[in-house]
Amino acid sequence: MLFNSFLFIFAFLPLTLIVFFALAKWQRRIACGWLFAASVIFYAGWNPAYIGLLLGSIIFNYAIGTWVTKLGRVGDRSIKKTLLIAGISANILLLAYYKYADFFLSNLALATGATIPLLNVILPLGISFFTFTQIAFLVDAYRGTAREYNFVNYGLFVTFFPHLIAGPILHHKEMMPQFERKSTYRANYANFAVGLSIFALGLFKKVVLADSVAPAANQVFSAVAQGGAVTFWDAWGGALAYTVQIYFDFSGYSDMAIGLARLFGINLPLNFFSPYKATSIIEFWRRWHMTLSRFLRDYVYIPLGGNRKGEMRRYTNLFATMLLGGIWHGAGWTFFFWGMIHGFFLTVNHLWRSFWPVHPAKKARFAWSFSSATMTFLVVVLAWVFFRAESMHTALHILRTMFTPPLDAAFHFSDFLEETQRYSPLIERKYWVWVSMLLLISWFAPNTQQLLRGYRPALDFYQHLSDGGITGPKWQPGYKSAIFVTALLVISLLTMMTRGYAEFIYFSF
Amino acid sequence: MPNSFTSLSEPARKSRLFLGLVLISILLFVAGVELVLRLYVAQSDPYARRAHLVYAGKEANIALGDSHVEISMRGLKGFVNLGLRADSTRTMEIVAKEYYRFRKPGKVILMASPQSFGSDRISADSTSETFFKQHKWLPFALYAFEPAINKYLRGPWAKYKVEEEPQWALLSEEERQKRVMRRVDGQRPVKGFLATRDFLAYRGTLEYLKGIGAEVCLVRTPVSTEYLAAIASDPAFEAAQEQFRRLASEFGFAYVDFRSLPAMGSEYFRDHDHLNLRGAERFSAAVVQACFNK
Repeated sequence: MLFNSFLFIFAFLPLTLIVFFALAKWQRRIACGWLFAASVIFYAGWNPAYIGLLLGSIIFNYAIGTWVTKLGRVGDRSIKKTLLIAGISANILLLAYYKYADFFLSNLALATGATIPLLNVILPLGISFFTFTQIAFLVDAYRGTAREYNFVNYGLFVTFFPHLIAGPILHHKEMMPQFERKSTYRANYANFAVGLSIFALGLFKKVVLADSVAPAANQVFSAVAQGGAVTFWDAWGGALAYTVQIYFDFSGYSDMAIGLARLFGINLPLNFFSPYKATSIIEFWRRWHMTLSRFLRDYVYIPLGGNRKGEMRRYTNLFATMLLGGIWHGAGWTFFFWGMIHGFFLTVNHLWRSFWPVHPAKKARFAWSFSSATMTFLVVVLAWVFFRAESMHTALHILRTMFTPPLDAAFHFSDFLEETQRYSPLIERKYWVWVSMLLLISWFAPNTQQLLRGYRPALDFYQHLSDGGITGPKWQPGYKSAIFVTALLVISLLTMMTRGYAEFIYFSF
Repeated sequence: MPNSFTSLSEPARKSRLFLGLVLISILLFVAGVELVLRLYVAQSDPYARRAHLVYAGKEANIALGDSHVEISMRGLKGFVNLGLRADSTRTMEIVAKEYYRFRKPGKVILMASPQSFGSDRISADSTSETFFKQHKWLPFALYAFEPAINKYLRGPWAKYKVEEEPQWALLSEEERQKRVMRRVDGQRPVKGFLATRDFLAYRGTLEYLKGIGAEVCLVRTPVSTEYLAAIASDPAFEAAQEQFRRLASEFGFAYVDFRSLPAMGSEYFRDHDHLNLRGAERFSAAVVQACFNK
């Protein structure tokens, strides 16, 4: 079931919400059970055949986690460690089978020249997310920071539908106190108003903004994938269109997840915070898919040694972590290269900071920030080409074209504006306008959390306030905000009606 | 007893007001869209209209086919005309099954004309037609949520043009020949059409209709004299027509060829293979008589 579908918006969500608060008045445990069941039904809306896999994974991890927690009291470290390793290995094997088996087999066939039949396994929706969430739980249980003895609570923590399919990747310790809190089970008008507003903003970003530029990116990447050639302008247009498409797609999804959880009185952690405003790759990863970055830092980078074993080891760990982050997104060389590019530039960024810890003078600060943000953005755009392309050939062809400007001395930018179709035959003028507008929004507009800053829009929101953006418009419930939110919803629903709706990009991971 | 609204704190009262305004506005918006779709779009856009007829048609009797049924059988009385331009046999199968999903079957006029196996039809995508009653969680079709209709919401902003019907008889002999040759080329049944998914779908429709007990009549739809002359010596057209005759006999259904009905001269045609309104009314009456009132 998609968040951006009529079935979800007009049937599943209101029904789940009404029944949840009705049951909560009577018995909190039953309300929790209802939410767990509703989340499983939500998952079944995609493919009922995979419910068994989801529930099996939950039961297995719950059993291991409980076992580890109980052993913690006795203090048998070796058995605990064995259980942890077994638990993590089982999760990784499950993920490897569903996500990477065919990739491995096809590469093995290519390397050996043998004919190896592929398994053609269908990737279960959200498997990367619920597997990572549960690995984090096992590690936390081992460390003694997560304790869970109630199966329904645990099941709800993993399946809670706002985050089940595409994150945020949650920590047990940040969710369970909220499910235990009495106030969560009381219908709260402020939560409904805030949740609905964040959801509306997310829906608008996905349906109206992201999906509007998708055809431009698809056109360019498909043309190259089918063996066609593209112009320099088309290549840049396609890359930029995808850059804004994925931005508003994922930003929209993250907002919708946060908004939906808030309707139930639950605050999810921040997952997206204006990443294109970042002035370095380090900062980019503190703003893009923040809960994945947090997972990779806490459960991969630090266990690998982090920065505790010397500079060389630090950069190797960083690079390896980003590679893993790359292939976590998908089984393919393009994702591997995407992770590699980010790993490389993160390393360069850290090296730069360690050698030249520059603090520009006040006068030069704007120029410094502007040039840093521009460079960061360009690296991100180039890396997205790998992320979007179906093959290395497509990615390299587009990148090559992006770096081969037409050598025409008489060319003026005004020529491009006047004869857009001649210079970029694949991308219509309207898409250039869309892309430009969306880039301006992503660079200069306040984000959803900043707009809703008076109402604690995300669990760890106040930790991110040092990034600025405190000024500017502020959401308050009332007539004006009601008109604004209604307008967003009406435009989104009209767009869904006349254009249909597409899946979120992150659903395929 | 305190009033529940005034006893709320200021932020809660504002939030409640906010929620009330948004939810009521959205419900009004959906209701408004539903009205526009039902009263305007479903009456004027041909695609939306056909979907509307599938959901709301009152008759047990239907006519299925492409524009040959949509246009050339405009005068059908007591039948719901579900014909639509460029419909493939796959679409006809879906439409028949959707129509009779909740209705008692009656008489069915099913187009049996060779263009159904032409290359353009065989390669046509019929995915949009599978949108019928996509929201099965609703007990009835809410048009605002049904992609078979709501995607035509754009229609009202672009004026539907009511054009004067062209007349085939007004064209010169040479022009008619030229147009017919182009048309015949595009509609020629492909080689090996018996193995196509379109032929299987046609057969599937007949099996389905027989299974539910419908009274079916396969009808070869009228084409102009020029068109008929152009395909007379074309074995592809004759082979397709022969298959329709064979299928009718295999399933025990009636088969009516327009040539066995009162002749239709150029004055009854709007173009090479579609009747004008006068012709459509004449043909519709004759075909019902020939099919079901023998």
